[in-house]
Amino acid sequence: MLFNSLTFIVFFIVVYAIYLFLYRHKKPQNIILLVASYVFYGYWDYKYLGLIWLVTLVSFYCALHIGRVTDRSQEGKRKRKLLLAANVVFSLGVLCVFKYFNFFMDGAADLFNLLGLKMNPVTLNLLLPVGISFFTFQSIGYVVDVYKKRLEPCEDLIDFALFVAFFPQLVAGPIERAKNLLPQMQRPRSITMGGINAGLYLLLWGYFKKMVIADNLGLLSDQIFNNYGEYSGLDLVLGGLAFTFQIYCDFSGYSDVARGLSKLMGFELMINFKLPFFAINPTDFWRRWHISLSTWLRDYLYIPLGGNRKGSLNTYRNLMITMLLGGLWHGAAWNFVLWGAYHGILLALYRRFERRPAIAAPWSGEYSRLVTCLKMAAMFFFALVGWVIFRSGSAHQIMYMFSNASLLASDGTAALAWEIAFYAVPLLAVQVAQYVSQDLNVICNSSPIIRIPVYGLLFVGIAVFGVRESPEFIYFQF
Amino acid sequence: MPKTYLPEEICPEVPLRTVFANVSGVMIITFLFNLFAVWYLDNNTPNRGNYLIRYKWELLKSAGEVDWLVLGDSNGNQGLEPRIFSGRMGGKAINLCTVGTLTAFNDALMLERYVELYGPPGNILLVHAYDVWPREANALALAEIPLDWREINRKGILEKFTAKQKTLFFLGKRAPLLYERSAMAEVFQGFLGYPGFPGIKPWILSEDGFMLELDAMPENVERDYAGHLLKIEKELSLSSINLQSLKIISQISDEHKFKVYIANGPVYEKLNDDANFQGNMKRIEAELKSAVAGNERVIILEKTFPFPLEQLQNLDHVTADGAVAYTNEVADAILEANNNGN
Repeated sequence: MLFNSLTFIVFFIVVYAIYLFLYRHKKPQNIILLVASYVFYGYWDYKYLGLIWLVTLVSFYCALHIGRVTDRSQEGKRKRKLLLAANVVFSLGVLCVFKYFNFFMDGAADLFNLLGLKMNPVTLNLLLPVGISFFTFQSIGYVVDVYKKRLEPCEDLIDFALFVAFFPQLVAGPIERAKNLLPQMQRPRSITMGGINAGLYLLLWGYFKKMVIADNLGLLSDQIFNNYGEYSGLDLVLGGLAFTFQIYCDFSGYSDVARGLSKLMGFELMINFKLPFFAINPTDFWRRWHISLSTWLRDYLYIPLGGNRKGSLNTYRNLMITMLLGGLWHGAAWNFVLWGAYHGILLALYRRFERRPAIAAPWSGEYSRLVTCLKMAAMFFFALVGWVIFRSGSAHQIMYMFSNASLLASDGTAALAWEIAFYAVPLLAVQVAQYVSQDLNVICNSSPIIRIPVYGLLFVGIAVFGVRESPEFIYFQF
Repeated sequence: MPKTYLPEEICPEVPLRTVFANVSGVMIITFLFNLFAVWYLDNNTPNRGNYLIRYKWELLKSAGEVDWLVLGDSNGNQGLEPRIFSGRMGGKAINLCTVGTLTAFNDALMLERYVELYGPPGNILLVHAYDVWPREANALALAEIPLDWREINRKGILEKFTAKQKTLFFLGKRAPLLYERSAMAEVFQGFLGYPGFPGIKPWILSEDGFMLELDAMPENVERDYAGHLLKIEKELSLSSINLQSLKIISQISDEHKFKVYIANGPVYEKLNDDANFQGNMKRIEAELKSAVAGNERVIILEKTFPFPLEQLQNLDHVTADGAVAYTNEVADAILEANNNGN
């Protein structure tokens, strides 16, 4: 069930009507939301509902027992550790079996072949369950938080099951922290006009980004990336540019819709994107891009590995491990690993050569405006290079894209550039306003003379330019 | 410029009237855009098919009295050249063929309107591709006929539409933001100077309604051929809307005593040689005869008109050369039918 399908709109209207009818009755509301979430998930493939139930039950009981075991004795500490390890191994095991098993087996077979040994890899014929990386990470984060005593274990299975399966963010995030979302599940929620106002804006802007910008630019980038041998010069650069805007609008559009739906129901999900095109360095980029994943990786991987506390070399190693696994999180393919490695290297180089790695306010006067703009342009370029790696299907394609890209135009370049500009300009216009005001809701909070016409144009834009038979959101596959 | 580091989301509490103003504002703006789209597309549609429909209906209004009124779909539009046809048959001819999705229903409506304006024509020639006869009513396509519901529904045909079809018909007429989105997208992009904007191709449409197409496109013919081979594997038969429309045409012809000739459109010779195609043609011709049985003024020309690749733009649309040949062959068939006592 896609957010941009009529089925989902009808589904949500029905669920929301019942939800409002049960207003301020927390328990029945949670039951309705839980049933709706399972219907939403089961709509793809009901067989995988068992998987989400299993992950939910294991995490729930592990956390419950961790919370009940005292760590004053060595035995208690050991038991808590064991429960944590069991949960992490189980959740990652599920992820590995369904997502990475074939990838690792093929890799092992290739390695054996390289060594002159023969190995026939065993492969599993399994469909990748939608959103598996999101709900497993969310569950692991919860159990670790309970173990670290950042959070009391949840005693109510329904509340916890809803935390894992909450349909707006179940299949493509944001990867919520239990500390943020779980308490919202546990208390009666209040729906405010401010929340509805912001929620409707997020829905409109999210759908516009997905259906108008991402899906139309996706047609262009698919054309170029799927037939890259037929393109060269500036067309390849434009293909990369189209994909850069596409993936941002696809994923941030989903996040906005997820957050908008949640606001309508009285929930606050975390902000997942904070204008990444305005990043001035790699660290800044990862504070703005897919924030729920980057902070998850920081808190549950990078810092436990030692973070930047054990010298430069260890810091670089930790950065590389974190980003490699971050890349692999996106999918079982070498291009994602390479993309992670590329960003790991960027982060390490930035730490090595930036004299003032702490990020100051870019317009505070520390740097000239020109330098800040150049930094932004450079980071945008580096990110674009990363997206070409991310989107390419093979090493050959990556090599071809980079070795044939140039500023030489073809007959079709003008039309291609025009079309990218046609879809990207509205995005950039809104983002400049958001950046200058430092308010992501700047349109929502502007005067009616600006706000209402902009809303109207966005709605008409979706009606006229929205791709209706659109493909799935890119991040569903992760 | 911002002094803080990362942007945040500011969500102040608002009164109900703000939400109400936003929602109603969006609805009003959408309504106004839709009105603009209705008006603009009525006069400047970039959609080739819709443009043709409007052009032919305008031509009908200024047609004057004719001896041969040619009705049908797009392969008649670029296949039957009135100038040559008039030369062969005598008198004045006009080509009002439109597109296949309108079925023979549009023929019946055009004939009714023509009779109202100028009295009965000398003769009618209906030209349809074989695969138009089985087509059922397409409510969205019929909505493109530039008449309102009352005028289109005079014979009560639309009453038989399902509720969904009626809704689609209404939306097709009144909601171009929903159902003519690609045309509107082209219009917006055209306004902004999109270099790849195709716009309306400068067609050569003569004053007598003939559309001249010069270039043969063999690759299109072969591509379509594969699709049509699948289509003719099934047993095709006359759709209910075509059956009803034919009965209306037959009734008007009987009432005003003029002849109606029904001809097959041109077709790729390889398809014509196919046994399934021939089988389907025989079945459709038999059904056409049965539909107009009792009216000797309606004559079915039991002949197909095969063409080679070099004279086709796609499977059933001829080039200018092909149109000359097709027009002559249809004229021959009519003369032969007349000589045989029809």
